[in-house]
Amino acid sequence: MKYLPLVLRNLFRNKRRSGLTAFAVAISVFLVVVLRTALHHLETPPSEQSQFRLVAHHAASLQNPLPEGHVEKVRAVPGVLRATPMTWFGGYWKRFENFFANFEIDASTWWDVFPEQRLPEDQKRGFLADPQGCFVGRALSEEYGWKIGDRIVLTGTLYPLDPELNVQGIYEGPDSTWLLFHRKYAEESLGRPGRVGTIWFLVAGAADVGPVSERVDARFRNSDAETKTETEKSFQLSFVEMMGDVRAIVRWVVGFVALTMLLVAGNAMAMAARERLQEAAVLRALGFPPARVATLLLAEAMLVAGLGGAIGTALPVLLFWNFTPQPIWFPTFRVPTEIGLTGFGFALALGLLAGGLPSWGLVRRPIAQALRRA
Amino acid sequence: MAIPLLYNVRHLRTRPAAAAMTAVGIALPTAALLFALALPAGLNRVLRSSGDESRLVILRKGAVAETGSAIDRETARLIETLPGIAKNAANRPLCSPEAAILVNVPRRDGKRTNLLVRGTGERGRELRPAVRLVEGRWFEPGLPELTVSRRIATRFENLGLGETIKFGRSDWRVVGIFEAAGTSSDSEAWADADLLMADFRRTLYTSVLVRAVSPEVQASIVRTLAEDERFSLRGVPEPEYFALQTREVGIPVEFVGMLVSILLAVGATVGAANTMYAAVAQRTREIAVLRAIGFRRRAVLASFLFETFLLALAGGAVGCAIAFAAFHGRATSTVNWISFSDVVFQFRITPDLLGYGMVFAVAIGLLGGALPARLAASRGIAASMRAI
Repeated sequence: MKYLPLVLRNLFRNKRRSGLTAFAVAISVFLVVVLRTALHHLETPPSEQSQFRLVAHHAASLQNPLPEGHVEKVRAVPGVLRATPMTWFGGYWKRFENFFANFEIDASTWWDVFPEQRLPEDQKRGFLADPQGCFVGRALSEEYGWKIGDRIVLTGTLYPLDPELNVQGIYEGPDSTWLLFHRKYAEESLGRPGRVGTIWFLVAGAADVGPVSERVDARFRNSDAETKTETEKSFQLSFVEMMGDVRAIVRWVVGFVALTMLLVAGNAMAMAARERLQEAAVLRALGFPPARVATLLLAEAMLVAGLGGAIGTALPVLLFWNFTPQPIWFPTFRVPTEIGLTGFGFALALGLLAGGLPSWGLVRRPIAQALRRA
Repeated sequence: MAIPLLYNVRHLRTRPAAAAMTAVGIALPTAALLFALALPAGLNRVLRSSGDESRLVILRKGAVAETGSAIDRETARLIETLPGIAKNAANRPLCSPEAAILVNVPRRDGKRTNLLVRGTGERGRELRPAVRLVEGRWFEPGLPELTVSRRIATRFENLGLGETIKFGRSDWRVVGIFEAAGTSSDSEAWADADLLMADFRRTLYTSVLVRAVSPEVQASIVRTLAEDERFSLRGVPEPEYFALQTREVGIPVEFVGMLVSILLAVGATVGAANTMYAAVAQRTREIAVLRAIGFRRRAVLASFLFETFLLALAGGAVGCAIAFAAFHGRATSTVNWISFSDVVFQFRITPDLLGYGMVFAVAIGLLGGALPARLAASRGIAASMRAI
């Protein structure tokens, strides 16, 4: 610790270089943290109880609806606790850019399966009483400035229907970016085609997940509409999978960032070491052990990298604490703790690597030779 | 008078490690930029080249993609009778009612995605001359057979020539391979429309593709479809149909890529600046000597800028080479969020992109070198001479 003033002095000797290097590290840590956060939120559904929540949909693809009779049949399958239909409506508000998640639901059973989406009782009553009622997530309502009592007209891209809806409530929940309205309204307006997109249901525990999904799928095997049942998490991941090599691409970019910054920081520290060559030799001539002399430079590198890392981590954490970049994919962009920590750890590792090699070079040379160098 | 360029070259040679690190520090963001641009360039090429002005895609009003559209048989027949639709050699109207159905199937890498299976017919092929059969034969009407694009055959499980895949209620046999010149058909498997619909218990087509005799007639068909109550449909010229997909799929990818590249570039600029500041500091006395023997400030400035320019040039070239070797021509795919179907494309590092890459690298070098070079040029001679 008593060497701290010396390290700090050295650090401030070339403020410009230290500052620039810290800045470069901050940018790279920022990039790494943001990219990894993006991947994390893509791959992790925000809901808490998703592991016991399953979804059955048409085996061919989501484009094909299931007949509504499937809902009762799913309910009758042993092991299914509660089930509710949910249909992706695919509407947008006013302009196509305002595309968000909107579903047709069956109000009498929906909360059995999605209890985490909390709607105040009086608003729930308002929604149940209004055939053209809808309720929206807090984040979505803030995005478009909707209030209770507003009238919203959606344009349907999948069905020949532009539903006119009254906002009856605003719900809070882990994913508050949806709009939900009565399935009955859509069905009646479309002339009762009797279709549902997906059927969501709960099972008692982890041991039931496999057998019950198999039983549900078996129930409809060789029927006109075979189903595929999966967990909520695997359902969400299937969309990420469809994006193709996205994950690989993001990892590539993270690698490029790390490598670039290693070069930038390594170069800066190598230059710092070169300038100190004589000084280090003097310190060693005075009797300081080589390890300590090397540690001084290493500490300097770690400080610069640590400062950059702290800024690069703190910035996205604070910036995205309450931020919805895109309602469907990124209802939240909060930086998970472990990604923040590894971001900072990445900066320290960078300092260690970038400072380690030059500091070793500093003490490797015989003292006399180092002293002679101008 | 200018300082000889050899001066800079010699200097770079005395510190090869630092010079190389700086150059590679410029090369990596350059490669990242090219990568980020090659991806949307390939994607947009597919979406743009697919649009042919002479073809009109007819969809349900409100639908933005074939996959979310529906047109009943009677209406499809009515469209065929519209005046002004071009005729083929057999004097039949070039009008193809089609069913675009998504099936979730595994790729050869094990990941599942939505393949677009197009139910079409002979006239659908006549309407798309870019699609050429290269192996096997076309599917027979009434048989569960597929003719698939070469790219799909190689990327998807069970879709190679002679293989059989199960979806809907049938086992479909791949009887032929086609190529579609990089258009969106290259991401599709084709089958007989009626059989495909029956297999999925569908009674509705998803869209109708027609060719009008002239652009004016096309415009009038669009009006009729929109205004005539028997239709109430949306006719979209193909380029416009794909423009929405480019905007919603390609441009966001491009945007994210650019953003990452710019942040990386800032980091690389800082790296270049660090190196050049050190170079200036090391040569304080040398610079003073140069000034003392009569070189102007401007010559010193130019000399240092030239040095970073050299570094950047080398870095840019290496970056371009890395990007080209690693990514060019590599096929990949992503989902088209408008149609929810998989679209196959190739990374394309075009000469334009290589040009951008070099400009980007040189900009990093010059920006990073500007302040150190100014510092070098602005020092007083006497003070610098005294410096150690």
